[in-house]
Amino acid sequence: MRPELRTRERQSWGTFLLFLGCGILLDRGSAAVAIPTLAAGVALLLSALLRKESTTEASEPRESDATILSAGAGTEQ
Amino acid sequence: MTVWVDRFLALALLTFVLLVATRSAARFHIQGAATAGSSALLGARIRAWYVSFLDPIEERCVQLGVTPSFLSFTQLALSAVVALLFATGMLFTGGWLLLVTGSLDIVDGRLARRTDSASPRGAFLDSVIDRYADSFGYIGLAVYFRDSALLWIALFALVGSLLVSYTRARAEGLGQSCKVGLLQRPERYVLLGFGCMLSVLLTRLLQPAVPLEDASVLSVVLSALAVLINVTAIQRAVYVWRELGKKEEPHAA
Repeated sequence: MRPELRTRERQSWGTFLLFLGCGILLDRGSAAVAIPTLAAGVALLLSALLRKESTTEASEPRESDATILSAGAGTEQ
Repeated sequence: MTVWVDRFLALALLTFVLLVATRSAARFHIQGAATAGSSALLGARIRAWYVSFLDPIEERCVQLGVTPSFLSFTQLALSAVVALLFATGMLFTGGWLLLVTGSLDIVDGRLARRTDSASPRGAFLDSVIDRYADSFGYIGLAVYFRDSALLWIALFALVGSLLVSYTRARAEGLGQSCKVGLLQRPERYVLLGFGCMLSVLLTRLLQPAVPLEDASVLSVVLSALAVLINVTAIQRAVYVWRELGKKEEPHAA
């Protein structure tokens, strides 16, 4: 796996675990811990995304990703 | 009266958050997005931006030899967990996992195409699993709202969700494509998932200044969703009726 993809994989897993953990805390009423953690996590994620975006614009763009999504799993939507 | 003022306030906040999120995503420039598939609610840029998150997951699945069917069954199992979470009132976690199950549905299709394992049998299995996965979320919400009138709204949304898929499947069975409609599957997932998450988040943020309940915002989102889903089903039915009518006209003459 390319290093860039490895970094993005870590970000994806980090996002998943961040929202899962904070979600459980929020649902159980521990907002004092969950909301600052969530805010900090989202801020980190956004800064990473903005960095990624600047490199994406510089590199070869990918075409038709949205077409793939619009086709969904290639089945009934 | 105060309940409606609270709901109006919550709705205004939700709209604001959605507008900010949409405008932020619109700043991302991805070539090809302008011509790629989009809808009224989820533009091509947002779709392309979101799919870029799933690339590494897809890559890892290829490396590990994960099959698309395995991902479909994982989606089904996670949807059952979502139903349990909704039923027990864990709306934020349930909403988040609902978005994850929607993402798995995208990854399994991409994986099938990439590994050249796409087949009619796999597509059929995926469609059946998708219908169960769709239904589980609404069933969970119906259980959660079992003591209020929102139970009927959740059931109305469930019926609409199944009808949206059925009208297209039936139309395609009659040889008529049907890719129209306001709320397709990704939009339904996004609205319900983020609706649940924002509902809990806003409640925690605004309490005790605004006496919201966990499901105050969700009740508004679910009501809107139920209406829009059924509008979509009717849109599709009318579209197919007209298109099939056009095909029948030459025979009549």
